[in-house]
Amino acid sequence: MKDVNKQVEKEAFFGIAPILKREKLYGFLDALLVLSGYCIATWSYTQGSYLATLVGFKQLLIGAFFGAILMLAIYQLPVILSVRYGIDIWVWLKGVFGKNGVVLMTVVIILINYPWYAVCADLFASSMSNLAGLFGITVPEQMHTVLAILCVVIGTLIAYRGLGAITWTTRILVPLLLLLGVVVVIVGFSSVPFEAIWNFTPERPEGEPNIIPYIISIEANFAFVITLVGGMAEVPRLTKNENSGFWAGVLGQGVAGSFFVVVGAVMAIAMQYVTGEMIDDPTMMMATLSVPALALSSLMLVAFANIGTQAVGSYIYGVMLKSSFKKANYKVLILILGIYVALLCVWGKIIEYFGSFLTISACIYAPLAALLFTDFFFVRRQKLSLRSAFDFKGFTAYNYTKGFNIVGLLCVAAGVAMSLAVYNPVTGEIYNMTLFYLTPTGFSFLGTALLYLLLSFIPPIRRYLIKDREEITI
Amino acid sequence: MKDKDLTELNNEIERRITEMEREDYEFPRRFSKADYIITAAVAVICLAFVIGGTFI
Repeated sequence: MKDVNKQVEKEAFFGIAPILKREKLYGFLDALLVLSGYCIATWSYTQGSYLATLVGFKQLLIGAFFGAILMLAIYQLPVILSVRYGIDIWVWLKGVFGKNGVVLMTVVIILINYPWYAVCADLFASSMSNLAGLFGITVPEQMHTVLAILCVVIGTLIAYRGLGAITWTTRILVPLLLLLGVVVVIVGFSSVPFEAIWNFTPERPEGEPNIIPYIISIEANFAFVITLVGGMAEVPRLTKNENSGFWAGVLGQGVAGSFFVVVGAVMAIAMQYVTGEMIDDPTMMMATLSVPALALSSLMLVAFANIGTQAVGSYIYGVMLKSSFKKANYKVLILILGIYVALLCVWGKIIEYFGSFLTISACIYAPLAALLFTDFFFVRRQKLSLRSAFDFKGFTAYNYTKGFNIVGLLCVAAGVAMSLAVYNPVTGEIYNMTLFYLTPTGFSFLGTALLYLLLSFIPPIRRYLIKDREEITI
Repeated sequence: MKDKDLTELNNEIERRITEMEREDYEFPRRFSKADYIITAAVAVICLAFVIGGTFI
């Protein structure tokens, strides 16, 4: 107990400080389990169900695994900096956005990303209501918000206890959840003929080309995995080797996370075959297609998966906020995050308006990831002034223009514009078919990376961006 | 966080940076050339599957 408290205190106090090699906690397997725990959430089922409305099962498999891993293998490469220096990417991003610009970007990313956790809490509440229903208990409508907040409270409490609690939660939870996924696949495939799932293709208007929904499905996979960019480094920075940190992130999301996306699709297709309706709620599927005992245990696991996600998410975003708000206390930050999610739960319309949140967020993640990639490999060439990044007195390389790197921020704006210039995610209108082949997220990533790189070759801009070379000591 | 704590935190960060600057500090094993090649190969294979998916 004393050790746990000591660890929490240490993490809370020194959460922002570089982690030295001797302090690193994770090998590849532990990092993989923690990140898998973060990626395995019921929103994966929602994604799988959505993909099944776009493409057939074989194309869905390709997009969910190969599409996801393609994007992850590229955009997550800079996590090696977090392993090397033991810092969060947001410390590095002070070079890209400036010391005040990075605060602005952190807050924007959290505001647009955190509604995911309200969705998780909402699904937890639905699962618990379905569980109660199996025992013949009807949960009143008013209890839905209370149950959702309960999920937030438990997840926040686990994060409050620190890394040890999170590690043990995920060590137990993740293997069980993977087992659950296998059970869902078996139930799905045994409830309907194998061919009904394998040969499934969604109904489409006569004559509609096959390529557009396929590209939209690839875009959905790119957008789905790139949402992790803001919090992608907190766990890898605790790993002992650069390749362990990198592959744990890629495989955690690209294999474990994608497996659950496919599970969601199998479930939705099976439910459509049996009931005529495509449903993404795993609790409903288990109750409809499975035997009661199996349904009950699976329902409990699905419900508690949301708590695991809430806990890991609180920790990751708590540390991310701490990188920008150095004076703030880790525990206070995760409490603020918990209150934000709880308020969204009380509001109760997050599911209804979630499309708007996603639309905005997908446009911002790609430029952010592109700038980090280009800056790390090509502009700053893997060298950072750590003292300027930590805003030490006398080290001003990342002050730029009143703390804002105008070039970096303009590139984000340009990346958002590129994405929206190709495709309108609200109306579904395609503005440029040639660029649409690259997907809006893919085009925005490539375009922003190229723009930032080209700008960095212009001498006055290069001098503006690279003021840190004399401060480089590592 | 109080100013005293912030000073302590800055001192701790400085201590860690100084430790990393020492010649005998051993960084985590670097991403090697082979790792980059494997990553590139994985990306190319994935891209091939994604393109191949259009023909299904």
